[in-house]
Amino acid sequence: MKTTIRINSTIKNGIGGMEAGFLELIYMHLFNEYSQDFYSHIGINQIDEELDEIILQEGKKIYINIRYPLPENYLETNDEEKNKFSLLVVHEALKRICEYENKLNIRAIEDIYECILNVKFSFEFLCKQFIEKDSGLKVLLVVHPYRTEFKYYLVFQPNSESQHKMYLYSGLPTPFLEQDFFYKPKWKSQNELVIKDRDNEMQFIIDVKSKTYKVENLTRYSNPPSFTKLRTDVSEEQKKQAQLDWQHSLPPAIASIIRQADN
Amino acid sequence: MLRKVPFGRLCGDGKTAVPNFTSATGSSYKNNNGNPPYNTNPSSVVTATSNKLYELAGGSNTTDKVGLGITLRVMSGDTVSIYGKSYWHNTGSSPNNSYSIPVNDLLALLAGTSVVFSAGKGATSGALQGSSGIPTDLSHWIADSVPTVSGKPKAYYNWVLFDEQFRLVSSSSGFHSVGSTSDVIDSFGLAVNITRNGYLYVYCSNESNTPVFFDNFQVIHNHGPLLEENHYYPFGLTMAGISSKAAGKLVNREKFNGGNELQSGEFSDGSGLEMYDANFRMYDAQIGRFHQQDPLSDINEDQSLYSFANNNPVLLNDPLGLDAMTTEPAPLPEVVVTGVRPKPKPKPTPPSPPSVLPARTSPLPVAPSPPPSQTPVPAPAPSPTPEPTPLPPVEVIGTGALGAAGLTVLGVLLPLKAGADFPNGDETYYYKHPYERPSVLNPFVGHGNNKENSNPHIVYQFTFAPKDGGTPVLKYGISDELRNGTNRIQAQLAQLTALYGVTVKPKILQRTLNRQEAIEIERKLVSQHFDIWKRMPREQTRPTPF
Repeated sequence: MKTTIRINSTIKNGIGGMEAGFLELIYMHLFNEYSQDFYSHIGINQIDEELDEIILQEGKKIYINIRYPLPENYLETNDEEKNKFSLLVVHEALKRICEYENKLNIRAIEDIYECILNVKFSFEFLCKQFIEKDSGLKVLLVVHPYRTEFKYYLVFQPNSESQHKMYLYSGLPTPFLEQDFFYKPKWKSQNELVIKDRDNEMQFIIDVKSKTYKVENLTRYSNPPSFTKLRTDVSEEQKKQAQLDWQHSLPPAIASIIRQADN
Repeated sequence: MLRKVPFGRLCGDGKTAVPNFTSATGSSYKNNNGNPPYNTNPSSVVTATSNKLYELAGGSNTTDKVGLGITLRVMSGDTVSIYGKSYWHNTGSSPNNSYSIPVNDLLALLAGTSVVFSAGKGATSGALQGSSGIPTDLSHWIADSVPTVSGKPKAYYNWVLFDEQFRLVSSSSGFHSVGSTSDVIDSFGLAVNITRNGYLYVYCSNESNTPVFFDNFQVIHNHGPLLEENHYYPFGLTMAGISSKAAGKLVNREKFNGGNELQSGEFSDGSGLEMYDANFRMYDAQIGRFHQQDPLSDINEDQSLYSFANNNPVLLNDPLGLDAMTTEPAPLPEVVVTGVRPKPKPKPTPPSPPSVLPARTSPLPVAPSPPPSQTPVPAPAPSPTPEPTPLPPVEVIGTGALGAAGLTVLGVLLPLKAGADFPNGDETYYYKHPYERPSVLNPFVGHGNNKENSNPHIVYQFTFAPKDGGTPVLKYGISDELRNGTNRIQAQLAQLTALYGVTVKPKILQRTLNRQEAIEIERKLVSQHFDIWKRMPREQTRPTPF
């Protein structure tokens, strides 16, 4: 993806926060599809009365402060209404950026807005694809973003038609998971695909024939720490343990910095 | 006392109008500033009319000798235009010009004006008189103002410029006498160029016993480009005695240390903190120290936490209160000759054939065959004469510190000179880029993002005061300390302050030996942040946290 988007908010219960990753991912993929790649980064910040509405550009990065108060009874609305409001703020901010410099196509921005509303925020985006050269088998990594989690699937395509979809992983809603946990793919054989993470903590071993997978732990801990602490389908105790394991895995000097220890 | 008299009393005796006034001037007297057209200043009110004019009766009444005075606070480069009309009436006898103005009167008038009171810290005529030099100068100046034509009243428009120390500036002072002819309106217009900061006193005077009338007297002050002149002690304390400021202008508080705001006079009683707001700290120019500790004290371990600009305020300043920065271009390292490149040997050139061949003789001459016992000795080949390669023109490049432009040029190899100064005339000496010479520090000079960047780095963070209950961390970052110092932090600080307000604060978290360590720490910090807030810092785009 060429353009990254960050959605922040300085007002309480604003459109920033953990759930913003959901809309960020959607926009990042749709910007790519609609070729709106002039900016390398777009920062959208929902602000209150104390800050000024500005547009600030730094090379190919652009930041906008937009004042957009929350509607009444916003907290009592359901997730869909909240999504729509977030979308409205982001859309308005992007329109202002269009007016500011005319580097984004306003038509494309409107189309993206309509597209998101039409599918009711339900998307599946292609992240990566792994092709086995001999058999021509395509294995696609797709992500289905939700407001509180991202679900990753593998889709097997022997003949350019989807044949089987396999659930793989549920993680926190951040667009950066796919870059780290599905970092290094390798076909061991025609029937076995291994996908390693960036830190060599774990690897997915996928059996193409049986359409199953297993996660191999490459660490000395009970679970791969980073991988586990970002999962949304494990218990809080497991996450807490993973967090401790992760801190334990750090070099002592770095761990002391992270903990802001005295020594 | 200066009197305001009706226009109908333009007569001199104060009782009857002058019947032949119109014929004397050649036209009807129009009591406005546009007639005659001397007054061309665009700021002048040419349509103003008045049925009154001012009379200086003169004579023995000392209060009728000086009037229409105004004191202006002026700066060097200002222009003050003076316009007016004057009139006097010959009553039959020559004016008696012996009613001179005592200097004391003038000083009393001058010192009594409000501007002098406010700016001159309560100067009085007595104090001014007691000051050596001033009365003498004034006396000399006034003594010069003698009418050049006898038989007319000794009456003048006067303008006197005093500098900040109340010394007379004669180049911007002067006077203009009223007209020589009785019953004729004399118009006067002049632009006075102010050559020194100070106070300009403009007034009219009459030292005779003949009443003189002044009308449409205008003084127009055109401000020049100079609004303020500040002199500082090295650590920023203003030398108030020789600094000056134009009157009627907004107070400029952004002065020393790259334009820091001076917190001065903000209290209701007129007092103030008298400290410069250097963003992160308050700087007290009276003691040359900051009042708070240096937030970036880790960088300058050998400096006091409270020192200003490394105690070197002449070369350095510290506008943010973070790190001293130079305002002068840094001296470049000395350029040295690091190697000798031998000049390429000239290639032998074959002898060129003669342009005109000799006529062929037939049969060809046959060389006599040597005797069988002798080995024929081949004739020596004609040795080619090497043509010296033309050397490039000598460029005089001195050694020592070069300017910034010089460094750019020295990025390529430059031929220095060749010839008799070198032991072998066939060698050419070259400069090499000064960074390529071995150095004790051996800094990494490649691309800053290179993995092998071995320069020391800093890891820093930006925080702010959030109101949404979210993370206060805006971002973590790293910077090549050797190359950038804290410039990167300060550049990002400006951007983040624009977006998130004045509560944004940077903090250096760690120093590392190289870039890889810094990246690793930054990544782990982002990861830790993600664990706590389930989200990367607000303005973090990389590195990814896992």
